[in-house]
Amino acid sequence: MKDKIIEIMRKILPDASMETSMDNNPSWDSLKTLQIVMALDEEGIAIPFERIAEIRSAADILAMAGE
Amino acid sequence: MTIALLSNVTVTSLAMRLNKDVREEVYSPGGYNTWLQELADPESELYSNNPEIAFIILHGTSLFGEDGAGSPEEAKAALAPMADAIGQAAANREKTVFVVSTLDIPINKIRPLVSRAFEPYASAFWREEMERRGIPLIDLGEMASAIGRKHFYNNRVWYMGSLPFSKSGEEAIAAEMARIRRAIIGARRKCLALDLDGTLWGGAIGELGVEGVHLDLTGSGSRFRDFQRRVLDLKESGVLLAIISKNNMEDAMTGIREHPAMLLKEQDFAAIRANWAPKPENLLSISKELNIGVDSFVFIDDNPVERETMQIAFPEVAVPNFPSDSAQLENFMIETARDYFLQFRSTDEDRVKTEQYRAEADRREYMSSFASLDEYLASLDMTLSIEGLSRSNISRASQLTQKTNQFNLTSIRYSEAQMKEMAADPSIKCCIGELRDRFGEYGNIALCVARLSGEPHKTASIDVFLMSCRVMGRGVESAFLSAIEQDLRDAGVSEIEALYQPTGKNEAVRDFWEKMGYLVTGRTENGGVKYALSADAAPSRTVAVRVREKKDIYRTMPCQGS
Repeated sequence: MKDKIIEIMRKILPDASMETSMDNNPSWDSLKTLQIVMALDEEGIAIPFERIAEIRSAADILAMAGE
Repeated sequence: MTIALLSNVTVTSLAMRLNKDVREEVYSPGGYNTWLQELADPESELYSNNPEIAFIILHGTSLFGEDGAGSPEEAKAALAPMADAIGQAAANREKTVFVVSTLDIPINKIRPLVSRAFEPYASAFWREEMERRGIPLIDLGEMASAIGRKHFYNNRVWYMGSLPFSKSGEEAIAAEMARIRRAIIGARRKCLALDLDGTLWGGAIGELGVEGVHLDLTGSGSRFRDFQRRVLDLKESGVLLAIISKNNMEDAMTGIREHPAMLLKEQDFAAIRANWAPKPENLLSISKELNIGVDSFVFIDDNPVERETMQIAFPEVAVPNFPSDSAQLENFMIETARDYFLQFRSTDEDRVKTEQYRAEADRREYMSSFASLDEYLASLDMTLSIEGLSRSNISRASQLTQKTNQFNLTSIRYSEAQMKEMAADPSIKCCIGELRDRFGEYGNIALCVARLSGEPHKTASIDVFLMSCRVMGRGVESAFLSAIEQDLRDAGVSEIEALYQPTGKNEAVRDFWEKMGYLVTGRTENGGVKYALSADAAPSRTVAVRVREKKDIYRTMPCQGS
């Protein structure tokens, strides 16, 4: 799951890793978050809708994907 | 080149995808649902960006209020002013091609079985309003139904950020916009080279005979007939068809001529190669025969080994992946057509292209009965008609600049919109030449654009001088140039400047200006050679071409609103 999420994220944020967050990567804005959600949706990884606005980091995504 | 993207919803994500696909700047105005203001305001950011293409992608549901429209009439009343706004923008901004989406409007309202839904009427009305105005469409409705609405839209990001489409939806729209862009700039392939066995019919004709191959009007063999029907569509839109088959010529021709369900006829093909030579060799020989570059070909073959061989020999040939399921043949051809042969608008020349190439074969045969080339040329009875640009030939003029590679002195490409603007500029003289001979019509085959400068206009600088390679070697170029020089002289021009810009494809005309008596005056930074000729010194050139000029050849033609 971890690898899959990073792979999907890299299509949108090329140097993404598990440590990447909106705080340490200035090019990660709210539009990029939605693009990541769109890409995850197509791979069948659905973040609960209520949690999308709380996404701040790759680690958040991994945690929410398991919920 | 700049592309603009307007919408009534958020399309920033779509704009990013398009930018990746076309590697061109994509301008999308800030602010939400500002598209109508952008269109109406002459000072808007849209117009200051001066885009060559403006895509307007509309989210159907959001065009109406929260409750939708009460009736089809109400829906039409809401859409009519928007259609007018687009129509007006398109008429006023000739340099920009507006491409507008069709409306996909899902029926959300809960209604009884017997009722009157406004949605389908609204979509049909919108399409009609755009078509009536000659506005090209990007068919969002068709994409949504092909992908399925559930997968085309994404409700989650819609509610989070007003982004209506899913990732697949955005990818499909961006890919379609990239195809439309290619069609507008004229990057269209010219020839479709097809295999026979397993492609135009099922099975090997050499083994099964005419009766044995799969091809039929109905039933399972009709999958090949349906495929042929789409190939025929392409031929009628000006694509040249060729056959490259590993077969005995006799078997191949028997199949083409005698199979009762063959939709494509022998005369639909500009060239046929059925032999045992490697296919790249045959493709090369067809490219020479038809005088078109290898990079103008799309090669279709069901055999993956043949496809790979072709791709390795000629990376510039487009080799689409043949479907493994032959029931998908027709869809495959529709997709191939969209990818490589999408056409902005058809010109008269396109429809008769194959006939013209076949007439060329008749000419070659006729030629062999003459003792000398001069005698042959004189007997062709050629007439070159020269006229200025008008609505009827502007698309062709732009097409000539886009497609002509060999006999093209400068290879400057102009879009239809640019061409229109030049035609209306009194300091730019454009003329186009149409040729016919005893075997038929070639259509418009030569184009010249000269920019005048000085007060009064003393100098003419030849910006474009090109001719279709189909009529090379007959003196047509000399006749065309002489007529232009004469007209420039009559207009008071004393000095004519010209340029040869080598491109790697126009080696054939390297000496053209020298042969025409022009003198070298210098070189440009990027390897071009500059020439000049005093208008009075223009030599008379003996040619076997009769020239007819329409009187108003250089009267500039206002093309507003066309």
